[in-house]
Amino acid sequence: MRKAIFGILAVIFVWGAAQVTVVDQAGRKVVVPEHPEHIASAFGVATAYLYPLIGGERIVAARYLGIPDHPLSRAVMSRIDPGYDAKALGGEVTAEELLAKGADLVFAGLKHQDLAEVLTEIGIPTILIGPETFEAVREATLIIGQALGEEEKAQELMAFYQKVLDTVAEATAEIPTEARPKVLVIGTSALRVASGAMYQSRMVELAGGVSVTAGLPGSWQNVNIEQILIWNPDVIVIVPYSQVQPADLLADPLWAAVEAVKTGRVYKMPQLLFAWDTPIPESILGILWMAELLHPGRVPLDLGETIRTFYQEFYRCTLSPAELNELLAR
Amino acid sequence: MKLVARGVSYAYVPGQLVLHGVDLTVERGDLVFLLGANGSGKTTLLECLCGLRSPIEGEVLLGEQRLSALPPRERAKWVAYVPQFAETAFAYTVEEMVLFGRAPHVGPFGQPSRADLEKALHALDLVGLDGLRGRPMNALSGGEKRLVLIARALAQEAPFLLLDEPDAHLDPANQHRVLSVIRALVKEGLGVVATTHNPNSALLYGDEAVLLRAGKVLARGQPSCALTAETLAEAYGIPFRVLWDGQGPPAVLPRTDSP
Amino acid sequence: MHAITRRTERASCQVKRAGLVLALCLLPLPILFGSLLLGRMSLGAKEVWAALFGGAVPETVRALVLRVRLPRLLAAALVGTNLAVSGAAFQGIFRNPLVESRILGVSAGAGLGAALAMVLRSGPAGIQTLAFAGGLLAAALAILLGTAFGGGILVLVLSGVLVNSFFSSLVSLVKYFADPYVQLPGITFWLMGGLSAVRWAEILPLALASVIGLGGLLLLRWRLNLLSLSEAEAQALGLPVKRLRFLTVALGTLLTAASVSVSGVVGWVGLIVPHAARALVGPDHLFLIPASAGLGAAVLLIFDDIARTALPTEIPLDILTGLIGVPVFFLLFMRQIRKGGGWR
Repeated sequence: MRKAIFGILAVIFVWGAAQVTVVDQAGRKVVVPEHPEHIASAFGVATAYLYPLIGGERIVAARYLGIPDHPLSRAVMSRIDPGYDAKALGGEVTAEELLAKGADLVFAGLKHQDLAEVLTEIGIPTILIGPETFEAVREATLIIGQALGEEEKAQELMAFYQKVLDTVAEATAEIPTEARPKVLVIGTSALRVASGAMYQSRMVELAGGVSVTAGLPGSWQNVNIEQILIWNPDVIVIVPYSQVQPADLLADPLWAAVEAVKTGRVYKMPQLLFAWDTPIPESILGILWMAELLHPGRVPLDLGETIRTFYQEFYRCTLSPAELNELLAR
Repeated sequence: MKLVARGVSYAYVPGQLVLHGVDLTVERGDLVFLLGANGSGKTTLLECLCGLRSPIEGEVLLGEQRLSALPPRERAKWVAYVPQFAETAFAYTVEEMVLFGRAPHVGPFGQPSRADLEKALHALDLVGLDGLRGRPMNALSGGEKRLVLIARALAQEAPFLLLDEPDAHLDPANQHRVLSVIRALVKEGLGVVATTHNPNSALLYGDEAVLLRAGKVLARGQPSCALTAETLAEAYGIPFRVLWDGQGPPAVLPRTDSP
Repeated sequence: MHAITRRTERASCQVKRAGLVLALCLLPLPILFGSLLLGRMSLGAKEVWAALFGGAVPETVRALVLRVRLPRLLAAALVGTNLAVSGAAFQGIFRNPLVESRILGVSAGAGLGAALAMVLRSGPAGIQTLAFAGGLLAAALAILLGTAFGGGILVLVLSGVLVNSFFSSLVSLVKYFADPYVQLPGITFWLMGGLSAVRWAEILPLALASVIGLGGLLLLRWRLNLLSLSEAEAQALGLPVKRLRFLTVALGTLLTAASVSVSGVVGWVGLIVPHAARALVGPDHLFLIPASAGLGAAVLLIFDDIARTALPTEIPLDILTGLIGVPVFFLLFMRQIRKGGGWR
């Protein structure tokens, strides 16, 4: 009799320990399976956390932002995860689609609350992330690492992220305001700009610039050319997944009076795998790139070397010098 | 110059003739009334005479020329049409409405000139309404509206006037007013065809009455000769009696007691 | 003697009306100049004058006035005029107070053209061209359908409604397949109407279409009165009704398509301005068309001023015209019904 009770208790104890409870960035308590084998990401930003932590094998479906449009991105992604094409989710992701792919753990964004509710109803645990600050990126990495049982890897990733972050911060902390260029970050179309509350503006500040949209609230905002003339940025950075090319702005008569256009300082952020302007661990490369752009030689890190190290360590992917050159070509 | 309908036939639905080879002649200085039961074809004949509908058989002639051979603008200088109601979505003033009658004389891309305005006001004068020129149309009584439409037709300066039931929906005083104006215009040399449901209008004011039945001319001639108790009974399907007090034209009334 | 005095007082009434029309036509000019001063960066009148006529001003001010504000304001004036005049003309020939220039599906067609252009990554020239083509295509389809079934007014309106719905659904389809991060926001923004990036290159085709459309409708304006009578009456007055209606529709569509291809979908101007003009100068298109032209330009200039000045972000025009225009329309319409002026 006692043996039976002890046996039952033991089973309960072990069963309890095999479950992992995670608190996601929406404040939800989610119970995740011990060995999730079919992981899905309905949020482009979340996908960028999965690959460095667990690679592509256990991913069954994901949103990839911007990769299909760049030949270099496609080539490198195919090396890392040869079957990624088949996993790509398009448009608005539905719960049914994820169910059909056999997902047993889903990562999504804060705006996917409805999707999360449906998924939870049908028994698929969903973790929501929504980072917009450096701290939030760290937090998201750790949450996802915990959910996937890859705490160690997550710590490594965070250490790298933090190290580069600190190095850049130290290098740019002393730059006086007059020496900080005014930077405008442009989104998917020429007059769509990143507000002051977004991750992109924080990147600019850290990289030693001043974000012209500091006073603008919300997310992406549509402005008119007059407002841009008033801001008169010294440097314009176009996000990697935008349809706008620097040449478009340089040739446009409407933009001709903008300082950045006059001096030709219009750049498009490089696109390799995941977008360096989005709140993901990889964005550390974007910050470094921007710091190099705004204050060349000030940060004691080599951009090319850091990029190569990152992809080697976290993606097990070796970039050839040719590929690196193509990536950084302006 | 005569306006002639010769052997005119018309069908709204193929195979169902509404007019069967009808002849009609209007001369200047003549007031012809068209009568008949509902559906007898009067309005259709009027519309054929004015060029709004093309007869499927026969023709409408203006003098020696076929009416259909004339372009619409030319046609409008010869034949004017006055509908029962002024169907407009906007509250035009009397003056504006009458000015519309100058359309055939104004160039395709032009506006009415001062001379056109003078002619329009003159037409308004002819119907005795020159005091109402600035009033909006919807502020007028039924009779006044009818007279404005006649003035509009007069502004066209067309020698022939076709009116659809000019005496309908009017009280006796207004009926008299409208019909006497028309009578006076005919005396000045206009050729007029008017449809009516009231045989007495024809008897009082008309030079000629044409009685239709089922798309064919049943009787034609001087109103008192064409509109007898027999012809009216056949046309309308109810008995009539003719009353005459020895003076002026006779009058007709439906017979309400048993025959 | 009596007739003469009556005639002179009527004549002075006419002169007053003509004067009012002239005033409305000239109204956009001071508003245009005033608008040059307005913006996120206010300028002084002297600065603007100098920038326009070659005085000494900083380069940014000159660029702001000549390259950014002037083309935008001209576009606003032209679009306002075009939409108002075509709205007035359409209300006349369709004899319906709720009609505006979009009734034949022009906006939906233009929206489809623009959406496709954006999905295909065209530049602004491509967007304008495809939007224009789409607008014309939709209207042509509605007219074809309408004429195939008799060409009467009711059938035309029905065809317009059908084409509008169909093309709107196509636009939704394009939006559904567009990338929600990259393309969709651009499409949505365009559809809400705005003049945030008007360049001189876009003004030329718009001006050309405006000259043709406005010129034609101005010449036809007295005849538009006749088209608002019943078809029988208009025909009896010697008008080639179907041809004239077609010509008016074609000119109105040209104006609308050209405007929408530059400004996106801006509603209510084509509906409300003719009503306001009618309340001021009466229903005679002889006065109504020029009055609508002036009033339309003035109104859209004002709306555009709000769109680009009120907030640091650009407020879509359709939102402004709807939020502000609809209550104004309601008040106007109710007053007109009570007074009985302009409409039966």
